[in-house]
Amino acid sequence: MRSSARSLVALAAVSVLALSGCGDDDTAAGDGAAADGAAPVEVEVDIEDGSTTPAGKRIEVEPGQTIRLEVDSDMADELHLHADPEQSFEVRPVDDQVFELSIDTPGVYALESHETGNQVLSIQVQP
Amino acid sequence: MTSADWVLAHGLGGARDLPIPAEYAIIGAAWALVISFAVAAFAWRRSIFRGDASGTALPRLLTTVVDAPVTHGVVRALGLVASGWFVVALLFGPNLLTNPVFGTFYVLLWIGIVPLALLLGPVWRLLSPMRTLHLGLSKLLRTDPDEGLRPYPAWLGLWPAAGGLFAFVWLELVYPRNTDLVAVQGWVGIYVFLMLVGSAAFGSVWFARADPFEVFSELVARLSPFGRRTDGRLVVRNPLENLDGLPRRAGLVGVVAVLFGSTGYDSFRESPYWVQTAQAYGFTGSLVPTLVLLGFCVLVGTLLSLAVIAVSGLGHIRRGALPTQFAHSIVPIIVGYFVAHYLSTFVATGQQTLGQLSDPLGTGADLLGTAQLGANSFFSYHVTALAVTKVLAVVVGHLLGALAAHDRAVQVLPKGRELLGQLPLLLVMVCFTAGGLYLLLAS
Repeated sequence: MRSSARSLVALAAVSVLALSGCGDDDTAAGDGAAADGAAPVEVEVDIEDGSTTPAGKRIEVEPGQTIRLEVDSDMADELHLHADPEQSFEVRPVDDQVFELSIDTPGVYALESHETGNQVLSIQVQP
Repeated sequence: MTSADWVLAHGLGGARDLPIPAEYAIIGAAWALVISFAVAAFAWRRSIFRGDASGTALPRLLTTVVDAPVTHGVVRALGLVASGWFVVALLFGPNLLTNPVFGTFYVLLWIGIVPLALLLGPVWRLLSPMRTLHLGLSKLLRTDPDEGLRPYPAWLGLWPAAGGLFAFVWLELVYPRNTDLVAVQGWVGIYVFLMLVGSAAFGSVWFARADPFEVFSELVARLSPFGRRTDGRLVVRNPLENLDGLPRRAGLVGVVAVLFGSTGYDSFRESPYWVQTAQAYGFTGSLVPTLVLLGFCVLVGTLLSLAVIAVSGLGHIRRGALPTQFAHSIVPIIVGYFVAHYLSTFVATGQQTLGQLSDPLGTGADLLGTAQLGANSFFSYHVTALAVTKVLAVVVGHLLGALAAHDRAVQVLPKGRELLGQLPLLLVMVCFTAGGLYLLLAS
């Protein structure tokens, strides 16, 4: 029965080839220009009683699209984007602070609050 | 906290992979299903794999060269130099993420074991600095390196390695300060101590049973196209024949459960669901994550064992030994998930680490001339290629696992039970694939 094993392997090989054919339509680097026209994504962040709202919510943006954080806080804190290079924002204990950030490289990034230890947002940069 | 401390709390690497698109996951799962049932229904009915007896001999000269004492000496020296470089950075380098220790330990070593073993077979045995150290100490004390104070107990099998592997994945995935140099110093210190004490007690067999890196490497090497035949010749062989020759030792189930379960946990812990749940309930320490990691490993081991034990049905097979008989079929699935999960990290952070290794003490030196190398962002911009590779790795791993399990089933199960008997195992394997793809999809 070795022949049926071989044909199975051949079948798998064909499917491998067929699937890898799908891989050619990758978005090339540097065409983040598409995002210039996209409106900023606005996110309200509350830092209150040592916790944050949201706490780990996933948002999806395009590469280069502006994310506008509207922060109300009852304590001094630092918001920090876990990326290379890092981006961080000093938060004061007041309401209605606005921070803007944008990310060019696709991937999933964590925005974390230094003092509470919470992950505030999970930012999916999807080309 | 200074900004350097701040970075320490985050672990290695900035961005994580995008979740894979649903259509790829569905195609992958469908293929896995079709292949599994095709294997059960149409493939061979009598065992065809011959393990270590198989293979086409490579030229005799190659065997001679590979086995030459001078070759062994050179590879051992390479292992010592690389480990020495690592230890210098570990003991005297700065406690910063730019210290190459972290990338070397978590990425080049841990992930690199897989491609190294797939391409070259079980070379860790020779590269292993602890083995070389033990050999040197034995020479110095004029003792036989293979002889310990007492024989290694067979019932203990690979369980010490399963424990060591769990200790590694715990440090990597659970311990919050895993990128504090002190943590890696502590881990490596305990590892070195246990390797020295164990090899003194049991001889060099200790490394083959208890060194987590060696056991992992030997496992993956069983999927390489190279091996050694029972007559001592180096051969090229079907990786499935190679896998068939994996010794069926006690504790093998534990080893594959830790390796597979921890990869699942790594995807799970990054999913928005878990991040939000953990933060909502305040699971900020290491207790709950430790239990969840352990739970993933125990779940894999239990499902595999139950599925295999449910197989037999007839009295004249020792059920307790069956899970060990089938544990090898999880190895290709582990490798598939390793590729899916760590490929982009290996390329990106691996290249960055090669740059950092040029300056092990943080003095601005460029000893290797690689200091300019930064993270490789190839897969950040080739997201479709990455997604396709991930799904293919999982599906191919599953296919190989199903073939290996099928052959073992027709080999060890009683006549008349071979096909019906493997259905529970196939069901579990499909669950593993669906679960794994779901985690890749979700995280």
